[in-house]
Amino acid sequence: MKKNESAILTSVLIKIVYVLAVVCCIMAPYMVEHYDRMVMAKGDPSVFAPLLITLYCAVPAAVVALICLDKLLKNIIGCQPFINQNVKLLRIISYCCFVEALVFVYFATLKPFAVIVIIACAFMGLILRVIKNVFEHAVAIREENDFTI
Amino acid sequence: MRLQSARKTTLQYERCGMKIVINLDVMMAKRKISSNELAEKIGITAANLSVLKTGKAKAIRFSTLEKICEVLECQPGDILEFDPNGTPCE
Repeated sequence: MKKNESAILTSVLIKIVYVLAVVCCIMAPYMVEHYDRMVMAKGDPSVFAPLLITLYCAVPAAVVALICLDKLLKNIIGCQPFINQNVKLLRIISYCCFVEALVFVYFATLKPFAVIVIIACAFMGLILRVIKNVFEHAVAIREENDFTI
Repeated sequence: MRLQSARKTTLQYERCGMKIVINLDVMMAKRKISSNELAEKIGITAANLSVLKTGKAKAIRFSTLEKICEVLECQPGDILEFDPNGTPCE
């Protein structure tokens, strides 16, 4: 029961992130403008356009990752953790992380702090790749177990 | 005639590459016991018994083998057979 409640809580958090993503998409120009004013106040050149484009380019991969996470969680709540579909979903989420890392490469040339975002996304993608491999083995073990009479 | 058709069924369902042949159909026909009845006596589902009969099982527990031998009054060798050639994969 507790494990299911945890999964349901995670599912709710994903829904909240969905909403936050939509809000951020709408509010992005204002947030970036506010950030840009702070940057320009320090005497640095404007980064409004590059940052806004980078953020909007990051949205599709983020949405895909969220959808996959949601599906993955639904399968886990439905007592199907070790199935091939979940392996595929984890693979897609890891690719999304790598795509996000690539998206921030151009912005990192303007603002070096974005390298942290690149490293974080790439590292997360790597972790998910390993978890995907673990799930692949778990699927094989489960199938072996299912066919043990 | 019935035993021959049961044997043929067993061979048809051999797994690709597998060298262990399961002759459950043969023993069931000899003892005149149905799948449902055998499954109930062994304590497994009819679906699992079907997996065993059709050769899709990857492993069998000793406890299951013991119950099968008890119910069918046979030896493990009557049910399990080793074919060194195995079934060629398509």
